[in-house]
Amino acid sequence: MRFEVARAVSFGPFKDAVLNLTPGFNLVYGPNESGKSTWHAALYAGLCGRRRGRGRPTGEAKELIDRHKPWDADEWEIAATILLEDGRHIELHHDLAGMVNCSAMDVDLGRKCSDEIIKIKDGAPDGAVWLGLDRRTFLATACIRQMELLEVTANPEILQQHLQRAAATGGTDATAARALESIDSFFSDRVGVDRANVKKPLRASKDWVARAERDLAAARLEHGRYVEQLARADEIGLRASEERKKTGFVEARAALAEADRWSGRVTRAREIAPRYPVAPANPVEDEDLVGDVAEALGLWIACPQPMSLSGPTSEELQRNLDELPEMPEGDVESSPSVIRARDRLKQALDRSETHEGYRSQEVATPEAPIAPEELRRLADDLAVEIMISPLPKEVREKSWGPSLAALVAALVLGGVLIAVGQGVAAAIAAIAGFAMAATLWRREAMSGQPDPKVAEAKERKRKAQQRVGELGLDPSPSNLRLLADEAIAAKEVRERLAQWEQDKSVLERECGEARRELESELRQRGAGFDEDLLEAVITYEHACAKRAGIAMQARQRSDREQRLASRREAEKAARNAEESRQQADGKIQEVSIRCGIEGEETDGLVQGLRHWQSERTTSLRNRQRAFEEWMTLQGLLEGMSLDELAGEALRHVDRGQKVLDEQGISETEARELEVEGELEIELMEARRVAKDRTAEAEKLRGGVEELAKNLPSVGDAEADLAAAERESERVKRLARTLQGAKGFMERAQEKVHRDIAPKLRTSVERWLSDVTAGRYEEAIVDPESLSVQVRGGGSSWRNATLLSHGTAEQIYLLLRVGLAEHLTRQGEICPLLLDDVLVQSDTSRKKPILEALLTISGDRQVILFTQEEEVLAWGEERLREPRDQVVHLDPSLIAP
Amino acid sequence: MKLVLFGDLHLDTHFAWLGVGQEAARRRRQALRDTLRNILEVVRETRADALLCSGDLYEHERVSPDTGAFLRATFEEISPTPVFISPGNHDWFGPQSLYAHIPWSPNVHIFSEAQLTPIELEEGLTLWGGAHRAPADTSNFFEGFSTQERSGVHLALVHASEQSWWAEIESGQQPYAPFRAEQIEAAGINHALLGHLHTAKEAPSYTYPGNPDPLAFGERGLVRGAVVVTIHSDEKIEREWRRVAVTEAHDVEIDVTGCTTREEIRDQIRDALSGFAGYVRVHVRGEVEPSVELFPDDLRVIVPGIEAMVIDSDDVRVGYDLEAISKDPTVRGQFVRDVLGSVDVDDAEKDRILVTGLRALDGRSDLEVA
Repeated sequence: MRFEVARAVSFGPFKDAVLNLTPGFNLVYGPNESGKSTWHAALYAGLCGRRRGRGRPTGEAKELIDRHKPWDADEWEIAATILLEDGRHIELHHDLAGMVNCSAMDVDLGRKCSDEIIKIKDGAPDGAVWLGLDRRTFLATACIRQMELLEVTANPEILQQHLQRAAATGGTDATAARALESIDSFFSDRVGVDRANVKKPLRASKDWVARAERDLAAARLEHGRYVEQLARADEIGLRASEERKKTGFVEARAALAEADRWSGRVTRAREIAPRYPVAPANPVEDEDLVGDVAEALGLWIACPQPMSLSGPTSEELQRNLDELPEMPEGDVESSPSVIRARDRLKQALDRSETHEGYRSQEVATPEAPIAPEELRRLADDLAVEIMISPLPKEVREKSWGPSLAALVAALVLGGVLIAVGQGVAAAIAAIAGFAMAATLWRREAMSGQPDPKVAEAKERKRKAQQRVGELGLDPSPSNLRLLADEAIAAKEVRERLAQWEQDKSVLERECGEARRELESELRQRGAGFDEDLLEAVITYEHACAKRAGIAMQARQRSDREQRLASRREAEKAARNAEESRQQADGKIQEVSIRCGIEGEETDGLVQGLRHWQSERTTSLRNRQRAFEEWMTLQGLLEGMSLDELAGEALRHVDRGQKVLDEQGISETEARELEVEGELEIELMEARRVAKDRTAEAEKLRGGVEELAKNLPSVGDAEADLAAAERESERVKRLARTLQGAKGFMERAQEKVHRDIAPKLRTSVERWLSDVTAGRYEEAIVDPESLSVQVRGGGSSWRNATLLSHGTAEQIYLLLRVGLAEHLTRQGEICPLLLDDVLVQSDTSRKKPILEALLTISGDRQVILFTQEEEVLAWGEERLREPRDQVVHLDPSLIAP
Repeated sequence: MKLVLFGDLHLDTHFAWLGVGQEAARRRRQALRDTLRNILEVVRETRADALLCSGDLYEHERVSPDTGAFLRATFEEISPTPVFISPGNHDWFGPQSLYAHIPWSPNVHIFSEAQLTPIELEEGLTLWGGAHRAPADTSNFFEGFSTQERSGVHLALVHASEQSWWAEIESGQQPYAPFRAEQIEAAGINHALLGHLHTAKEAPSYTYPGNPDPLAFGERGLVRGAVVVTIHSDEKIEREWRRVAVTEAHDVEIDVTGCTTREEIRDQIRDALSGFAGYVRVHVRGEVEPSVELFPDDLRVIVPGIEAMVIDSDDVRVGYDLEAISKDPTVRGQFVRDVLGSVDVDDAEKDRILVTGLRALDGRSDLEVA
């Protein structure tokens, strides 16, 4: 798209002014106040018009009004003819004041095409729409003002920010980064983090909800407690009321009972009073005599009857008792222990006597000088010489004969000795026979054999001979053996005698012990004794038998003593009875005299007294009854007269009725009340219980009232919670919205930057070399930050913000072109409108920029407004009609 | 015989939904008491033979200390005109309820049994009443019930939900003691005087008087209030609704399309509410200029006679030309495209995100969207 003609019908100072434009570079020159800025604005307004709508104008619109609305005319109109890339010539007409006559017309077809460019929510045709822009974004995209270039020069960071702003909003408003910061900041202020001690809304609303929930829970709890307490107070109050009612019943019942009692008193008094116009005599004055008579008669009746005793008297019984012997001292029968001791002594004596009879008559011989064993050994050693002579075989075979003979002889001798009672001698003979036979057998057995110990035998024989010689004995072996046998026999005699003596000693000891035991027993029984203990026992037995006879008589004393005691008791009772009767007689006679009864016989007097007593008792009872009635009457009257008593009774009846009325109880109901105990006690108890219950009820009621005073409103607490929850929900919703907006925006920014970055690079690189005279050829644009770097001839990358001012301005222009290409709808080309952008640039910077613009104008219309002669000169030199042109504004055309 | 029927007064209810602070809620609660006094005026004016309450006279869990005393004194005012009360699910009869421990004047009779029990209003006219004995799970009063062939006219006074009608209109309420209309006649009852459903209903066999003073915005249908029920000698029943509310609650819709400033909107609201009184819920709708800073709290205007105002601006749209913006090859255009194209965000949230994001891109600081 490009502008062909702009016609200011009525715009600022212009009236029907026209500006024709060529397709390429249009350098519009004019000094100050020649209308450059007005035409710049007129071109913008001619294309975009002004928003139709109620309300205050936005910033750009306001600026347009303030600066370019004619102040001396109502009309405010602008028109522009443009050529679209599709070849259509469009004439736009904007009634900027009335916003009514606004239109777009296809000049070739003579047809209105306003609908194509009227946004629904805008209401006025906006030619920028054909570019895919709107009047705001066109301003930001196509219109480059001096100030913008100055900003880039002053602060190269602006370059990047501008790119970001353009990417975000077509350059109209904030960058996406700024918008994100704004969201973050807003989130921080209006939401905040959910952390303890943080006062920001999110936490505060949560705390509020928690607090409100606690308050509501507490309010409900308190309310529940209040309701419970109220119910409890009512329950106790009801009970108290019941107790009071019950007390009323009891009071009524008591009042009725009192009234009844008084009425009864009156009735009774009225009954008694007529009988006693005067007070009866006191019956107490006769009571002494009546008592004495009763006592006397009582004594008489109580005294025992006279006793008649039979049988021997106590004296006689005493004499009979004295005739009997006393129980003897000592045993009345033999003690078994004495008898046992006596029998033991007897047995010991018998055994001792028998043993004496067994005493041996043998005489003990002295003991031999040599032991029988040695004698036999000597005999054997001496007998060796005989045995060492060898014997012929037959002799040796026959030699069994002597051995056997010797054995037989020994056995025969032994048997004879046993037969005559000489057992010991028989044994010795048998042994000797065996020994002899054995010796013979041995000698015979060995004589025929070669004895290797002959020398030893000879030696033993020699020593034996020497020994026998020393002892002066007969060396004959047989004598020696006989001598040995005799020695053995003598030893046995000595042993038997010793045994007998030993047994005798034992028996004598037994006799001694038995004697001592018997002596002890006799001594214990008190029996005398001497050496002959057995005789002493006989004496003891005789004494026992004698005492047994005496004892039999003595045993009768006990019976007689008891009979004597019984008799004495009986005689004493008889004496007492007699004394009682005499005393009763005396008493009877005494009171009989006092009662005026005469007679001598006690029985007669007793009869008389009983009669007197009977009469007297009847009379006394009557008098007592009268006296008691009179006393009753006095008690009933209690000091009042009968009329006074009746009046008092009437008052109690009235009171009872009053109580009934007060309690709202009928007399029947009150009388039906069952009272377990005493009425007064029951009444006291009922009053106490009623009082306690009432006090408890009042206390509870007081507690309830106290609770009620400070009872939090559940409704208010619920309202507070609801408000807190609403606030919490609002903050949470805001948090969600802000987080959502942020998320969407971050993703959108990333996507757009990723898209725009290569386009900007391509756009910059297309002219970069030309506008920088070959210093820079390549460019890169960071998709994340849209920062720009350039380089030339393979040198290192340089950040565009660090380049010289002139280069930065050039690159800025190229980027603006790139942005215009990016933001412009595909198929259209956005013109560039530059308002005195070089006024602050020095000469060295102006030319490269102008050259850059000239290059750019090869592709799109460039309209540069300037007041600089230097720029004019450059234009006149470099611009070629008909594509380019230099336009001179005439200040005189400006309406004064 | 002339009876005045009311129900669902809900004394001491919380009014948290008002969202206008505790003071306004307290005024509303006081208004409920004043409404009861208006009902008594109807009794006096019509010389009614009895006052009937069909339950939910108060809310047990919120009842304030002096509500019992207030009710006692109020009902005593019309003594000896009898007052019959059938407790509902909010004022259920129990050992701790006001009914149990307030020393009612002799003219007050409270039905306390879980099943219908009779009271003869006059010869040939019997009133049956029953109580909710718990806050929930009360059974159908009419199921299996019979007037036992008593002669004359039988009325029932209970707090119960007629099922067919309840399903139509009171979706926010739970059906308590549900029954079907035909069960009334089957039980031998000529007419049932009911409570629980807050919308008034004049059915052939039953009557719901409706809540006598507004309990919420948006109450529609018949005039709600006290019903003067006249039982003629020919058993015909005549009903006349009397408005007794002391509170006005209004729903007002205001279209603010085209407004370019908050002040314009406020002016429009102020103009629209002129002549209204009481409590007003303002539904602001329409499309406003993107430049308008709009937040509900900022729209509360002071209008004479208006006690409290609730602003509902959910239907206000900010007039961004989203279609046009979405065509921008900019971050803004991409942002709008992405938001509009997202499937996991609901429409309302989309609107808020869009307005928030676009305002941020416009360099504005009013990022919160109502």
